[in-house]
Amino acid sequence: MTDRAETGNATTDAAAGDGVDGGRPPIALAAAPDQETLTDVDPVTQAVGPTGVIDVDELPKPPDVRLMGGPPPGAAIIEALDVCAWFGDHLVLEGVDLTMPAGEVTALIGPSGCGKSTFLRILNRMHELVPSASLAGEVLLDGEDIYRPGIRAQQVRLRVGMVFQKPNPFPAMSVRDNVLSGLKLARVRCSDKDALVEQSLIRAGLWREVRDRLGSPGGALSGGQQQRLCIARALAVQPNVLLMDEPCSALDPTSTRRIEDTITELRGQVTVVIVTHNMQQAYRVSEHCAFFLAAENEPGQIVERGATQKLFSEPDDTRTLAYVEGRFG
Amino acid sequence: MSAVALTWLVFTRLTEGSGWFGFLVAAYFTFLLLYGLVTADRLGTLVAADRVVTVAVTTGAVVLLTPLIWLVGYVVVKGVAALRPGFFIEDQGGVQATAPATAGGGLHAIIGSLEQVALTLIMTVPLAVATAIFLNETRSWFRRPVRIFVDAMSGLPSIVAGLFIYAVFILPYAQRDIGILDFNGFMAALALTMIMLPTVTRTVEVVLRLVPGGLREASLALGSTRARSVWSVVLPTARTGVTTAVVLGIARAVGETAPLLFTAFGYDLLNTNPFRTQQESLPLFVYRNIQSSSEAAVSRGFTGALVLLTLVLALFGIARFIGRDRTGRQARRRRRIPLPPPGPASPASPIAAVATPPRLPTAVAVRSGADPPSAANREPNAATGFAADPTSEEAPGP
Repeated sequence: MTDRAETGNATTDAAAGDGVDGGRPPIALAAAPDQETLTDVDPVTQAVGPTGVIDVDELPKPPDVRLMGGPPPGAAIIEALDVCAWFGDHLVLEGVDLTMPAGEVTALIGPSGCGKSTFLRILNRMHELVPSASLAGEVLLDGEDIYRPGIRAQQVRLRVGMVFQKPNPFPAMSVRDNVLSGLKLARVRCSDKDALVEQSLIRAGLWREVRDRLGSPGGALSGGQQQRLCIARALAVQPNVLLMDEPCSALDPTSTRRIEDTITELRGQVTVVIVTHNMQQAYRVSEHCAFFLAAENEPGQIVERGATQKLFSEPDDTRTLAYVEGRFG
Repeated sequence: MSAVALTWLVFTRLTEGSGWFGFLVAAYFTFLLLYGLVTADRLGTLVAADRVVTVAVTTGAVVLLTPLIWLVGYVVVKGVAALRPGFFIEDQGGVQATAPATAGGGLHAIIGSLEQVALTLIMTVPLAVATAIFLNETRSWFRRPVRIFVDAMSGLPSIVAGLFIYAVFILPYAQRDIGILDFNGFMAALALTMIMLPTVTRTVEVVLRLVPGGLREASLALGSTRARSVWSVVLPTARTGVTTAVVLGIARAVGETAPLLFTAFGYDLLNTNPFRTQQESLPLFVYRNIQSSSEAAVSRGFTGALVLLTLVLALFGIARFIGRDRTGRQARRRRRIPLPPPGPASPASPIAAVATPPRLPTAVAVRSGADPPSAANREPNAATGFAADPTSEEAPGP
């Protein structure tokens, strides 16, 4: 466990260091796209070894891009108050209270079927798209209930972006159009689209790999790149909160690490809520953690929440301890 | 084989077989039996079963294909006889009943067909796509009745569609001389729309259902409304499928005769205005000519049938081409990405390296050798894991 913490820190430090000196030739730093296809060379070393090769996308920050009609700037705090959710008559989530602080990473962990994903989808009103789904309780985004009558779901989803389990770039659009699709779909206008594309791709850690082929179709990228493209797409509308529903579960270790780097980079700019089955990942990327659990035929509940460090080292609840140590789930 | 031939002879001699068809059937099954027995004896039952089934399936395919090829071949042979370039530039104006088959042409029919189908298309496509979107993208309770209705309509006999248009739009106004409410190409297009609409709707619906739900979710999660996500995401994704559906619908509509009998009515002269007075079309041209008692006219009819057949085949070809286009591009892409220009980084090398361990060092050496300056900057442990960097840096290039 400690070892992993050091790994994480080393990664961050290395990134910071590179940012300072910046004198290294970029060519060695770029973890190139073919790594995803060539992972079988040595996936183990890449996954856990303290690799010094990190994509930091060491490029001059592009000028701030102003969006018109987009969300207010900055990260937002998002709070769930006594949230219950049903599918039909089936209560799947009961009395969930959770505060996800602005600009920090909150991880939702727990075994399958305990309502983590449902909870995540409640946070940007995707839950209501499921027929027969219903809901009680409040979700406050910067103190404002997103389920208040008179608030449009589109407004909420514009402020609270989402990345799904399976990479789902729009196949009929180019890489560039994929990034800009959010603007088009939500009728947000932008003064400088090229700069926005560059900025979003840099923030998602993908710019270096795709800058020469912005015109090629989004489906032509590898799985890890597609997922980062989806992150870039979600970031392009400059949301206040970014929800990630097991973003790495379909990816290989290299791509997973890159996405975790991306999440680390986003800290402070966006509130990130991530659902993950990978406990190490939760430990590496998050500051806060909430452990969901559902007993058989019972609705899911939060068993324990708090700082990630504490939850993983000395949890209050024995079930949490058993879960984080991998004894069940 | 010789054994089979012998059996045939014995069979006919012994049973006094009557008729060639029965003989053929009997001989075929005898052949299957003998073939199976001989193979079973020499190579085992498994191989025998495999071969017998292969033969049976192949025979089935041939039997099914024969009438098709026969039909097409017949039309081609009969039609080519009177096919002259003049067929595409002349109409039947002033052609005497005794004139040879090559006199005049079918231009009026071709133009009529094209105009009617174009009009049909203008009416069908928006309606069909809208209905398919309604059926697939909304959650209205009204979808069920609409779906049943569309299904029922696709079973509508085509002549009923023609009769309906005739009875509703043409007959009541017969004496009043209103241009548009009389026999004309537009009425034919209306009838054809009734035929084409349900088919295209159902096909487009199926195509839309194939668009992954994840894409809809993704676009909604970006703050899009449902309508916009259908317009900007679902339809572009399904574009090839929708196009194929429409082309197949055209192919169906262009060959319809029955709905045109009481609507376009047919005409021997070129009429380029589909909204006024009767008009010819290819199926009608065929129908009217083949009914004729004149040998030349029948021959002309076959030429028309050949042109129609070619048109439909061409349309199917287009549909196949459009449908295949995307997958073909994807296949090319799949091939291109793992095969970057500088040979050593091709996926073959890691696979080969796994299969034959001794080759691994060579492959790595080649790769790191490809870019010495950056190799110096690498972390020590990266030498193995990231040796692919320099080559893959070039991979995204065109």
